[in-house]
Amino acid sequence: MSSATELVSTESLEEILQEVWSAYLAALEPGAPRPDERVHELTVTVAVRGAWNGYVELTFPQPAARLAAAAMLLFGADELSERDVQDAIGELVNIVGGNVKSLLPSPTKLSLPAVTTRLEHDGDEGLRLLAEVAYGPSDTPVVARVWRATAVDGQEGQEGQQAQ
Amino acid sequence: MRALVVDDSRTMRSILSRSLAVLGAEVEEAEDGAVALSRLEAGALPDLALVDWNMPVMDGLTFVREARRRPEWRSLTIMMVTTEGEYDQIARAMAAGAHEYLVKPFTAEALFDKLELLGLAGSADGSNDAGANLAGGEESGGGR
Repeated sequence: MSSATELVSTESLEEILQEVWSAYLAALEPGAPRPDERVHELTVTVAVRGAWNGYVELTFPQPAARLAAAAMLLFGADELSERDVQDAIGELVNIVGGNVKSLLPSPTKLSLPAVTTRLEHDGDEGLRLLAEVAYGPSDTPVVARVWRATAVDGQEGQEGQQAQ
Repeated sequence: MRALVVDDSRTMRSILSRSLAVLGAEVEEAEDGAVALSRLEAGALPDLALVDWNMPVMDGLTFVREARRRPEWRSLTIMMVTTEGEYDQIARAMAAGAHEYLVKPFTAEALFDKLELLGLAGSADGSNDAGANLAGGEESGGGR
């Protein structure tokens, strides 16, 4: 349990983000966000289930989400629909999540991306924040977080013991 | 070259299609494995299918297995393009009948290198020029 925790660190998460940005968002030019857009955020998550349970989450300020989608689709930011933006940032969290998954014990499965509200520490799943990295333009950074669902891990452990 | 890009993300289909278009490929797209099978049944067989793993309706591994059950599609080259980078996942895909495997994130250069290995792309020189326009980043992918 502890060894898996150590495998997902702030450093490893930052390395993944650097690789993703280099591949798809290198052309992204930082843009000054409009003050009224700053308050709006979009969060996308993928769930990891199996030998390790948790979530990978990306939270985008609205302007950063549109810029990322525009860079990936090669559209002008004004040409993008909300669906385009959600699809693009969904793919980004899918890629980041897949690379986080590769650091974890097997077997695990990755869910499809979901646009959601920010995850919270408390709750039935016993979420614990393992790593948090702000990445991208300094005025509109994307925040990546990896959460471990300790209560789900516990349930799976109990089921495993009962099966034995 | 004719190619089929199978990914549930429109964004990723767009990135892959643009890369293949640089090579002069004629590209069709499908949003999941089931749609991809329908495309293959309905039209002329492409030379290449780039296939994501995690998709709704029918995932990429199931698509590969289904496609490989059809002897008339034997000439179809299949490359998985996915975030599933663990060794056992790669082994499963190759055992099912995929020819190559590219892990996301990837640059256009990494894609072209794989296609060149498969005999489906030209020299790396032209590819690198094209890749710089599409991704603008350093070499990555394919070996996480």
